[in-house]
Amino acid sequence: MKVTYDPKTDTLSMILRERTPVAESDEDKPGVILDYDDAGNLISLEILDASSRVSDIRKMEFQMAA
Amino acid sequence: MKPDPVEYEITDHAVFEIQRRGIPLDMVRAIVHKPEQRLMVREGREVFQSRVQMSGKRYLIRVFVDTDRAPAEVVTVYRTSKIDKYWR
Repeated sequence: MKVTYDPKTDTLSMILRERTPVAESDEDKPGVILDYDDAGNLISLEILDASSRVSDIRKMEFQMAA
Repeated sequence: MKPDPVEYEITDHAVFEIQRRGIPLDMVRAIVHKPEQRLMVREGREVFQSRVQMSGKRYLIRVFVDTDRAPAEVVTVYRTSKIDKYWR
């Protein structure tokens, strides 16, 4: 999984499956773009105006549940 | 609504998403120059959209453009087959 924040466009991209072609996308809610592969699997998402939707945009913590 | 932008920049992030989503860059440029529809998203941001045929399938290409600056900036682009959902 790869997460990238682009400050110029204020967008947050989260790629769940790299090197998998995006077949098409949809906006679940305005400004939240979901990307799907040919089989309909969610493979990435993009959040617009990210700084107003995500708390502390420059910090990310990843935890593996015990 | 402002006239279609004569000058615009496709941001690095937009280029990345355009490539990842398999959308021809020429198609994006054509839509920004002459979209079938322009929808206001919020102050300073619009969606330029057009219906296209790709790989034998009908899609709507939605280009997010920040129009509150000069040159205007393409923020991101995606394609969807759910044309009715977004068409006005």
